[in-house]
Amino acid sequence: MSQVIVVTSGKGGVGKTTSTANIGTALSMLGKKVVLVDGDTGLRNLDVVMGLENRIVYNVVDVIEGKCRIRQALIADKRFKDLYLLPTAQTREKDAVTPEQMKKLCEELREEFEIVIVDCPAGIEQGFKNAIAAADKAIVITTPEVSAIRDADRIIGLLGANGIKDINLVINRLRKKMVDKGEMMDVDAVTEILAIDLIGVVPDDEAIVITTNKGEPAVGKNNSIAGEAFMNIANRLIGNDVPFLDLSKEISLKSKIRKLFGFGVF
Amino acid sequence: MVAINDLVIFRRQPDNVSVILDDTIDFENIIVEFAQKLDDNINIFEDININMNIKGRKLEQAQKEILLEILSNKNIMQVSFQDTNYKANTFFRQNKDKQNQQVMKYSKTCYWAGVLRSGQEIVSEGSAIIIGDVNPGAIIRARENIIVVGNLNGQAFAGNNADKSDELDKIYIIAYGMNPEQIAIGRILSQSIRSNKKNSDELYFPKMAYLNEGTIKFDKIDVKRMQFMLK
Repeated sequence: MSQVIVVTSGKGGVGKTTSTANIGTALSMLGKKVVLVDGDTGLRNLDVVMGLENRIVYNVVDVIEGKCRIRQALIADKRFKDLYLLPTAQTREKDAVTPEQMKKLCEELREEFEIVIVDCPAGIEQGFKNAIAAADKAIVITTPEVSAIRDADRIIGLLGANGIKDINLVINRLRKKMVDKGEMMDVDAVTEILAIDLIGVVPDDEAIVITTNKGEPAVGKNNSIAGEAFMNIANRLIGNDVPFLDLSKEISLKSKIRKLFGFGVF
Repeated sequence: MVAINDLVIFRRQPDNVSVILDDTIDFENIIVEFAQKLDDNINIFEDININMNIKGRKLEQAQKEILLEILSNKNIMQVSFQDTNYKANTFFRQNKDKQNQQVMKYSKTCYWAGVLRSGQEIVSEGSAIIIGDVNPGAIIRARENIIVVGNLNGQAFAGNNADKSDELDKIYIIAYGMNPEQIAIGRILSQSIRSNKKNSDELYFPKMAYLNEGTIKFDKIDVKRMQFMLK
């Protein structure tokens, strides 16, 4: 039974595209047939983060305008079995797609893929409306910061108003050291305000900077704690009960890895 | 037997206003006459707390609602219907018999259950009751009072567009966790300092905001004060 998941946040730069790439990759590693759809027409990034930008021939807008079939626009990731990307256009804008077209497209994708993940752009306008058009469930990404939480709250309200009630929260870029010092909000403070189910906490990790620049999702590597966290999220999405990472062990993990690999993770 | 030519008769009594409807004619004609007489007798309704008793005709629910609709536009809040058929000359006696009446308060209170999220707004012609938290960025506007059974972290504006300034003395905002971004009663905005510290016990105690000598005061909730306010 296929599902369409939208990854959204409201606020820009909190990690939607990174999360989409990593969670999608993790799900394919767990044996699911996954397609990642880039919803950020005009400012596409999912292809870069996945390292597939050189292989784009056709995109979502071409499919919608009938210039090509879906098959022709889909890019198969050669590193991971059953992981596909449907990129969007860089030369067009958000108004190139309507919610109805998006819905129709996702219905077609549902037939071939077990999981369709739509990477939603920042904001609450046309891009957002397009991305949520066909979604069954949503993953809201936030960082533990007041402004991100404010926007996430707004988004949750809008998702509810559009009939999406299955909403999960991912808290991204948490810094345990700062939380312990009282300088950053902790998990409970965030979930108290947002009042939705928490599906994962991803710690701030330098490996993410490195891997997104290289176009290699962190879950594929075994030296990233963020990658581990994303793998856990993917497991929880398909129903496997996985305990939350003990982030207080971060520091010792870091020093262990430093010794093994000779480079810093933090 | 008194011959009554009018389809709708208004009678001012010591404690209410009676309206006697003719029961032989079509309801449509009654509505027209009712609205007309209402306008003609508008001076009777200067007193805000008017109690209106409608009788003389068996009315269906839909018909009652139509009359209530007309009355609500004139700010007549308390209406009761006497269902049984009384002859015109016996109605004085029957007025005192309250047991046959169906009292329907035509209230304009808005209720909201659940979290009120950022960007959501509640506008009420009367009071507003929220059972849940009000998150930062959410707004409540009410003509009368506001009660939040939860944390008020957003904005609350009570006594909005209140016509008379002495009405504002009775307006209050109650919240179980009083930590609003902004709060106002009538046109007066509060000067309270918002605290972001979680360890303050003061913050999660039920509090009431009310007007006193031109500024908004915050008091911990007290039954005596509530009773005083409601008088």
